[in-house]
Amino acid sequence: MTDLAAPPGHFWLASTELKGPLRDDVPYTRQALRYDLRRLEVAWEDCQASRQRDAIYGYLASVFDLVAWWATERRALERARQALRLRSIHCRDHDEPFAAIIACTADAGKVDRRTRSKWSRLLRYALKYKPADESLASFIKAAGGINQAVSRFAHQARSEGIGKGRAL
Amino acid sequence: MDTKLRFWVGIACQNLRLTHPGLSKRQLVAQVLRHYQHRGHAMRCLDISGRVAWKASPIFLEMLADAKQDAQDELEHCP
Repeated sequence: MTDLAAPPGHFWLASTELKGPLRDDVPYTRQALRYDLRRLEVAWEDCQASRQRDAIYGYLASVFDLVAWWATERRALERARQALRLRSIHCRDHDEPFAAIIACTADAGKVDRRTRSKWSRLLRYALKYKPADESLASFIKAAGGINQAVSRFAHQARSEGIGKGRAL
Repeated sequence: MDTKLRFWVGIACQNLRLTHPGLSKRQLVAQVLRHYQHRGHAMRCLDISGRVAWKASPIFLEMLADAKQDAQDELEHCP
């Protein structure tokens, strides 16, 4: 049990650190975005270092988790474009948040545009149909794997008349 | 908010309340979360109900684990 009387200094918040107007909300800052992007880069490095066949699910889940909460605030597209600017990336995926974040965090030499497009379609399918209490990995596996899930989305999108990208 | 983050946010709020008695709990929590976010210790996600929630970041969890291990190592070396 950690000694509460003398915990490590970096866990504490000194009152002198409080500055500026004392609001009761927590804006999502550029610094927070940088940390989130870095975390996804680490997730990518981890999946590349792993020999497990389904290691990619960990990276895709991290991308999904980030964009999904942005989408809840209807700010996914805005923040994805901000991420592209932060990384100085100019690509055609500036209008699709999942593809943009994959472009920002995965090795471009290993993830070509076609793969990026496939993964972003997969994650859009999950955003629309995955229950909140189910993990992305189990959702994809239940659908028969990445390619099957992407096919299902394409089929459903055609039948529902859903466009290529969607406003998030 | 997850358990680990809630614990440290609670301690920080208690500490801050001593020097900022006029702040509401909501303001105190927001201030603490802003700083934890700035340090990369807190992050947002969706909970199992699909609502935006806060949790301790992997960096913070790693720091906590290291601090715990350091404390245990020190105890083992105590006479």
